[in-house]
Amino acid sequence: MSRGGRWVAGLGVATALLCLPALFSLDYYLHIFVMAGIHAMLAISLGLIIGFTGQVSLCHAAFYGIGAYASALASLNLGFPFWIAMWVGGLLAGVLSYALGRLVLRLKGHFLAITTAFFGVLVTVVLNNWVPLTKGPMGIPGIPRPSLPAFLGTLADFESRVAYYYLVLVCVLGVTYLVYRIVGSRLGRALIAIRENEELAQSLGIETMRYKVFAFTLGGGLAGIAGAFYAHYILFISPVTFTIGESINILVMVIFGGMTTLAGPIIGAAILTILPELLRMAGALRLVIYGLALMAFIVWMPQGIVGAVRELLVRDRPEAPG
Amino acid sequence: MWSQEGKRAWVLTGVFVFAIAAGLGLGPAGVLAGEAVKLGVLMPVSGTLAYDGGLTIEGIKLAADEINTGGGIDGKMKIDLVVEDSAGLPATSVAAMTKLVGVHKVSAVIGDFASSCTLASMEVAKRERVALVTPISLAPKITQSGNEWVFRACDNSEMIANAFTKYAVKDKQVRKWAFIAVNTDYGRGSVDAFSKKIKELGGEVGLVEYFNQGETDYYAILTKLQATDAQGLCLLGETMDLSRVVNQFFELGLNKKMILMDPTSGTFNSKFIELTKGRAEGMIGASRFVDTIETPAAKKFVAAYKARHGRVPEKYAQAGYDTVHMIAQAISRAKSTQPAAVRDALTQTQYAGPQGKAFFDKTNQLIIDEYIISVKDGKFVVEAGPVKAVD
Amino acid sequence: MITVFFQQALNGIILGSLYMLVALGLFLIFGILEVTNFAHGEFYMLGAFATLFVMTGLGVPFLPAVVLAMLCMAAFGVVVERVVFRPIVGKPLINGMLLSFGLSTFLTNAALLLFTADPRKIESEFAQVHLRFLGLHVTLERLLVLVVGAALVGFLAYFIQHTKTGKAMRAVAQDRIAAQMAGIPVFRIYAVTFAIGSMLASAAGSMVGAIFLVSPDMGWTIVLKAFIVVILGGMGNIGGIVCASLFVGLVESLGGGFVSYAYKDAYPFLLLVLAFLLRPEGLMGGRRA
Repeated sequence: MSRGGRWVAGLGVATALLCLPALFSLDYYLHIFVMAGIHAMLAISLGLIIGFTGQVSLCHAAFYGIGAYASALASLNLGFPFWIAMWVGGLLAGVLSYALGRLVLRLKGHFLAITTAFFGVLVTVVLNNWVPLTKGPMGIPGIPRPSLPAFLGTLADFESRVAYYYLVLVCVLGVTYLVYRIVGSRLGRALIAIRENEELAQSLGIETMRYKVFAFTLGGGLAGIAGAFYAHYILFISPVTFTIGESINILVMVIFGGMTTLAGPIIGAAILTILPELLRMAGALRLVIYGLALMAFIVWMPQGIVGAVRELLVRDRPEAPG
Repeated sequence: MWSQEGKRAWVLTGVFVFAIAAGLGLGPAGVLAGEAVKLGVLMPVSGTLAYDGGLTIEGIKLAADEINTGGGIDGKMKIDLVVEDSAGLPATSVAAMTKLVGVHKVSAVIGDFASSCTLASMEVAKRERVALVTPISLAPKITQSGNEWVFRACDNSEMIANAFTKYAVKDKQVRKWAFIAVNTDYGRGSVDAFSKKIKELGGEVGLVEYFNQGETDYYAILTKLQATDAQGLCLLGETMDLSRVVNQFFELGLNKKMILMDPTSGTFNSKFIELTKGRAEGMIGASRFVDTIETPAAKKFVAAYKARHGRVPEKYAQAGYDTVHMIAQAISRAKSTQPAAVRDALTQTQYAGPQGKAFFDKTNQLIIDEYIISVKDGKFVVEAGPVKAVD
Repeated sequence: MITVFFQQALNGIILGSLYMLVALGLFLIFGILEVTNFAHGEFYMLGAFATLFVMTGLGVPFLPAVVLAMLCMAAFGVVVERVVFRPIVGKPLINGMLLSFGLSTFLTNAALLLFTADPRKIESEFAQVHLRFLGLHVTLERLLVLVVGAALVGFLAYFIQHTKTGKAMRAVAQDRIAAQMAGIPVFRIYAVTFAIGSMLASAAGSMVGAIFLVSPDMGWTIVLKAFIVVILGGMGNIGGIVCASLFVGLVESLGGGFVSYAYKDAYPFLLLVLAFLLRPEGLMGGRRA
C-alpha cells in the first residue's frame, strides 16, 4: 500500500473509532468495546514478549491481576485517585515481572512456558488465600471510578460508558505507540534478533538476557496497567478473572491476530472479544466451537489474520512485466 | 489461481464477517407481542458452574410455565424468559446483564449464581435501575453496600448459623467443633458467622481448614482432624467436593469418632446420596428446603418438578422457582412492568411458597425459616422446624 | 504425631503415583513428538468416563474395566495423533501448545455437553476393604494405585529398554531425522507413543475416578502438576520422573498437612524455583532444550 494510501486508511480507521459510540450507543455494545480495548492492551503487551522477542509466557493474566489488585487497593486503602493508582498497578506488575524474568528467562521454549504457567497458578493461589490483603475469593468490591479534577470536571463523566470508551482508546493508542517505537528502534531489532536465533544473537554480542528481561518487564507492566483499568471499570475484582485460562485467552488473541505484527494483537483482541458475545446463542456449545475453531485455526492459519492478509496481498501483486 | 492457504484464509474471514453481521443487534427474538413481560435470567449456562446454574434455571422455568399455563400473571400477562449466559465470570456476567437490560429491556433480572458475578452485575443494576434478584449468591456485601436495586432471595450464613447452632449445641451436645470449608466467601463467611454463635452458646471452635473448590484429596486435612478431639465436623461446600470429603471421612473411620454436619445444606440433594452411598448416614444439617417437607405447597412443587425432570428438586431449583413467583406477585401488585415499579413492589413481598413464609427486610435480604434435617436411610428427614432464622 | 506423619507420607506417595502415570505419558509425548500436550488431562478424564460407562453399561467389574478403558483410549490417542498433531510436526512450539489447548477446551466442553456436569463416582469393591496397620489407614483402592502404578512403570521400562519398538522410540527421541534415515517408521512410532501415553493417563484417570470423582473438568489440575514433575524429573529418563513424582506428591501432602493446606498447590512451584536457584544452569542436563 502506498504511503498516501496508508494515511487515508489510517484516517478512516481513526474516524470510525471516534464515531463508534454514536453508531452503537447501547451500553451493551460500549461494554464490549471497552473490554476489547482492555484485551487489546493485554494482547499488545504480550505480543511484545512473544511476538517480537520470542519468549513464551503463559502467566500474562497474573500481571493483569497484580496490576488490578494493586490499583484497587491503592485507591481504597490509600485514597489514590485512579490516575495515580493506575501507575501503582503498572509499577508493581512491572517489578514482579522483572523478578520473575530474571529467574526464569534462562529457560527456553516449553520449559519457559510451563514455568510461567505455574507462576500463574502461584499468583492465583496467593490471591485466593491471602485473605487479609486480597479478601480472597470474596473479591474487592466498591472500587471507585476515575474522576477528573474539578477544572476539567465537565469534560468526561465516568458514570457513562462512553467516557470509558474514549479513555481505553487513548490507552490502547498509547500502548501501541510505545511498542511501535520500541520495535522500530535498535532495541527492537535486538529483540527480533533474539527471537529469530538466540545463540546467533548472543554470539553477535547482544546481551540477550538483558533484552529479554526488558521486554518481559515492560510487557508485564503494561498488563498491570490494563488490570488497573479493568478494576476501575468493572468496579469489582476477584481472582476468577485472572486465571491461567485468561492467560491462554490472551495468547490466543495474539496468535490469532498475527503474533509478529503490531496490528495483529489488536485485531485478534477485538475479534475474540466480540465473537464470544455473538456466539451467545450457542449456549453451552460455545466453548466446544471455540476449541474446534482454535484447532482448525492453528492447523490452517497459524500466521494469524494479519499474516494471512499480508500473504494474500503479496500474492495478488501482478507478476513482473514480461 | 489462489493457493489452498489463500482459499482457507478467505473462507475463515468470510465466516467471521458473516457471524459479525448476523450477530450484531440480534439475539433470541422470542417476543410475544401484546401482553407479555420479559424477565431476564442471568445464570452460568457454560463453564464449571453450569450444572448448578442449570438446576436453578429448571426451577425458574417450572415457575414461569406454571404461571403461563394459568394464563399468565393475573390471568393475562405471560412471562417471557430471556436467558443469558454469565459463564460464572464477572466480566461476562456484566456483558450479559447489560445485554438483558439494554437490548432485551427486561423488567427484572434473576441472577447471578456466583457471588463474584452478582457483585459485578449489581453495579449495572444500580445504574440502569433494574432489579437484580439473586436466588443463590451468599456474599454478605451484596445486601450490605446500600444498593437498593439488588435483592437476595435466599438465606444467608448468619441466619443459618442462628438456627442451626442452637440445635447442634443444645440438642446434639456438640461442644467442640471443627470446620472444613470451601475457600470462597460462602465458606469463609459461614465459618465466621458460625464461630461467633458457637462461642456465644459456650462451645469451642478447634480445627478450621479451607480447601479450594475442585479439590480431590482431603486425606491431609482429615488426618489432621483425626488428631484433634472435635466432637462434630462442620462441612461447608458444595455437592461434589463435600461428597469426596464425606467418603474419605468414612474411609478413615472418622464417622465413629464425631458427628457430621452440613448446616448450609450444600449437600442436600439426591446426587450427594448417590455419590456417598450410605456413608453419610446420620449427618445433620439445616436447609431452607428439602423435598420431604410436608406442606402442601412443597408437595405440589416436588411432584411437578419430579414429573418434569425425573428427580426431586433441591434448594437451587426451589430458590429459582420462588424468585419467579415473588417477582410475578410484585408485578401484579405494581400493576406495571416498569423496572422501577417492580423493584418497589418487590420490597413489599409477603410470600408463601414450598419452603414457608418469606419477606424482604430493609436491606433486601429475604427472611425465611430453616428446617433441621438429618440423613436417614438415604433420605433427608425433617427433624425439626420451621425454625426462626432471625430472632 | 509420628503416625500422622507416616499417614501423610503414605497419602503423598499415593498422590505421587498418580502424578507419575500422567507425567510419564507427557514425558514420552514431549520427548518423541516434541509437543507440549495440554490436552493430556483430557485423556485421563476420558479414561475415567470410559471405565465408568463400561462398568455401568456392560456390568464389567473394576479391574477389567480399567484395562478395557486403557485399550479404548489407546485407540483414541492414535486417532488424535494422526488427525490433530501430525499436521504440525516440526512447526514452532507455540503451535503445538495452542493446538493442544484447543483440543483440551474442545474435549472438556464436549464431555460437559455429552455427559453433563453431573459428578459421578466409580464404585469398586476395593473401596470397601479398609486396611489398618501400624495406626495407618488406607483402603485397598488406594493401595491399588501403588500396585498398578508400579506394574505399569515396570512394563514401560522393560518395553523401552528391551523391545524393538522401544529402541526405535528412543532413537526418534534422540534425533528424528537420523532415525528416519535409518529406516525407522517415525510416524508409526508417533502413533505408538500416543497410544502408550493415553493408556497411562487412562489408567490414572480410572483410579482417580474410583477414589475421588469423575467429572469433565478433572483433567486440568493434574496436567499442570504432571508438567512440573516432568521438568523436575530432569527430562532424562523414567527413573527421574518416578522420583520427581513421588517427591512432588510427598511435598504436597506433607506441606499441606503440616504447613498450610490452602497453599498446597503452590508447593510444587516453589520446588521448581528452589531447583533453579540451586542449579542455575538448568535442570535439563542431558537433553536438548
